[in-house]
Amino acid sequence: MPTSQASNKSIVLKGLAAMLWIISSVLALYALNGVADLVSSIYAAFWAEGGPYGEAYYSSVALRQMVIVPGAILTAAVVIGSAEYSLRHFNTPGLWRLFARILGVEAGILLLATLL
Amino acid sequence: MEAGAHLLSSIVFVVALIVFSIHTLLGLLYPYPLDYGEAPLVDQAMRLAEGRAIYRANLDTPPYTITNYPPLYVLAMTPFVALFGPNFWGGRLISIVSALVVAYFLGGVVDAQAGNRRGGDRFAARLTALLFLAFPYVASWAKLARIDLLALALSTAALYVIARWPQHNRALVGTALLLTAAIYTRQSYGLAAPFAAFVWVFVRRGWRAALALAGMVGAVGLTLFLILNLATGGGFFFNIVTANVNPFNVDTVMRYARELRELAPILLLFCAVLIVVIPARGRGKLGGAAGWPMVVPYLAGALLSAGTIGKIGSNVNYLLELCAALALVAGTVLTWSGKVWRDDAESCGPAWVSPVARSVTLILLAVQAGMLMQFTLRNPVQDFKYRVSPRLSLDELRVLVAETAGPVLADEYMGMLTLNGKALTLQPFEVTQLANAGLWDQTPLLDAIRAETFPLILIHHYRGYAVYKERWTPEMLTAIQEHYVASDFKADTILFRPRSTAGVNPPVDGACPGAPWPFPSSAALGLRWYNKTLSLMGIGYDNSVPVYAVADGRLMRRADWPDAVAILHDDPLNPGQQVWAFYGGMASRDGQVSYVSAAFPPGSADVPVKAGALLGYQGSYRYDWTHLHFAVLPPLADGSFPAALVWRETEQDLSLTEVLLQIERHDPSLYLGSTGSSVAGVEDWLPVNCQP
Repeated sequence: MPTSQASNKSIVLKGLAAMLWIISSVLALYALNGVADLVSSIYAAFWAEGGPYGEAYYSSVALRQMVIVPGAILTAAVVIGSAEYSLRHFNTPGLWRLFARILGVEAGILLLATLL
Repeated sequence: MEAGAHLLSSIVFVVALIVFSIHTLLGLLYPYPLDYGEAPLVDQAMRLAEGRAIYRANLDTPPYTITNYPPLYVLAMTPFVALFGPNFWGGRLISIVSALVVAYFLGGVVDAQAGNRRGGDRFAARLTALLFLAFPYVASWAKLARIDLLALALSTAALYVIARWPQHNRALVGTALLLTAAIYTRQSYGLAAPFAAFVWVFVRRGWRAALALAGMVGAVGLTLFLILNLATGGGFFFNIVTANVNPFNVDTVMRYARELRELAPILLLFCAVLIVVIPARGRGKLGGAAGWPMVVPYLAGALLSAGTIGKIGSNVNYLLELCAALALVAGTVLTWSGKVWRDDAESCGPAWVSPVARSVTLILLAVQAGMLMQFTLRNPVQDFKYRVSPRLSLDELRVLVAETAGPVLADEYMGMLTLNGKALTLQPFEVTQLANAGLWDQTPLLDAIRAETFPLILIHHYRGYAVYKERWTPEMLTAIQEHYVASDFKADTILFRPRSTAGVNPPVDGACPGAPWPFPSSAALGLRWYNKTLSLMGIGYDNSVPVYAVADGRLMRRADWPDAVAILHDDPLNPGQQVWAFYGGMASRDGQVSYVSAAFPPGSADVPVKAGALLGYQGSYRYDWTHLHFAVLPPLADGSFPAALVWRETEQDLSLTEVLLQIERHDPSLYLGSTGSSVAGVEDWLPVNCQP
């Protein structure tokens, strides 16, 4: 392949990788909130009664806080880890598969958080 | 892309499994009955554990109980009852394990059929299994001590065996035995799975093998039937055939059809793909969907079975086979989507088609599972929460039943008898259907009720539905009204005691002796007191219990009142003054249908009425029970009706706060001569007890 074409392709792929990283990082933050919402929703569906004065309400808030901290650590790991992996394994099948999996997980969480 | 879609769907289905697990675990641990049908099964297991027969040939003498189903489930439950005493958790454990077994075998069928072409499809198998568990009907039924999931487990095991080893004769025999076992768990499982197995064997091995399968099922089934029927003197046939003929309601079928259409639109789309697109795509060779000859007949049979949900007394258990069939459809379409154009040697299409098709299918299945979970959390889970909420009342009810000497009659909470080791005397729903069909003479039971033989009768009312009308004949309810009195209320259940021993002084001919006013309507199920207003709860569906004016007066009905009238009477307790009597609740729950007499259209004003004039009929407007909402209110300073005191104020009316500064509600019990309540802020149930 001529050098200019190879160079153009490399720029496009770098741009694509960067864009996917940005999208997955932003979605990771939304997914973090989504997981907290999901846990609260499922808990509330089974146990909540008594409105904001009920015992279940406070338990639900506590559950949400328990989810947020480890979730935030995981989110940071995903953001930083995917960036590192992109730099080391640029334009490999493993990289694209990694982004596909990360986006798949995030989409699944957001889908559940929306529906439930 | 496929990797992402795999993970997306995996996450959704894992959450579905978590929701299923929580739901069923909570049910397993709950000690009281969750469904009418649980107690009879525990009662039958108790009888078997004691060596007594469960298929009686007639109901001439008590107990008036029916064993609607073949014996396999009850036999499975008997060791739990024999070892641990009467309980519901044993039967529920069988149901939960059966649900997991069904899921496993459904996945196995999909994997086996995918493997028959080229390798298995374990992922599709797992998704099929989890999709079955995601159905709201499965989760809600798996936590009950009911027979259906065991029957489904046996029938899906049969389909798995014949799908995995279609060419083996031993598999044929095993399938026949499993199908027969399913039929002898629940007789209605003699349609979908046997039909699917028959077609599958016919396609894979020819008509001889198919006939052999049908012959084995028929022979074993018929032999067992004859043995059981002979051993029980005809009782087996009477119980599982004669006693199961109930009236049919097409509206119920249509309601569930609409619900399924809203709940599972993607699965219905997959059905269309399976039935139409796949055969067309494969140019007559079923284009890679090897499971087609099993899944489509199973779906057809399951649809027919589901159609019988219109039977009076049926529930979502009639939809379980359909759930299994839809899960199989999804798994089959998923495996096919991964092979689109891969297996067609004549024209291999672009390589990206199959991954994209499979990814799209996975995403659609994930969305579908999410919709199912949403329905589960908003409906069966909320129903379960409501059911278990009156825990204290149920504890009291259990103790009360334990302390009652003599036979107790009950409907929804028959389980309180079984938990206390008491045998059931009556299964009201079953014998009511027999009586309605002219197959059972209820006279001995009516005589026993009139003789006040039973120290306690429990009649339950569902939230929003007078289910007792299906469970007790009109003659039984009349006999109970005439010789018993509603004396207590626990967990949406009215406790009736004999008039002679109840310690309650009921009205005579609709009035308390010496009271200023008669009761405006029947309160056979008691009174609900709320902030000096009464709900008189009559026995019957909406628009069947009449409401009468308590005295002469002048009637008005506002234009925005679908359910109510108000009459200005002379105040019998304060001569020279007048008082408003409010008669509300006379409309359907949503207010769309009014049960107020046509003689008093909306907008009526100053209409003279006489005492005893028919005003309309009780309804369930803004309430869960058929009732009349009755209040006695002083007029405002200008003589007008204080609408705020019955929460009917409009912008033109004074607010509740403003009205309460002037006047307050009168105590209606003083006018009716019954005992009132001092409870404020919450509803208090009262028996209709005339003051001495």
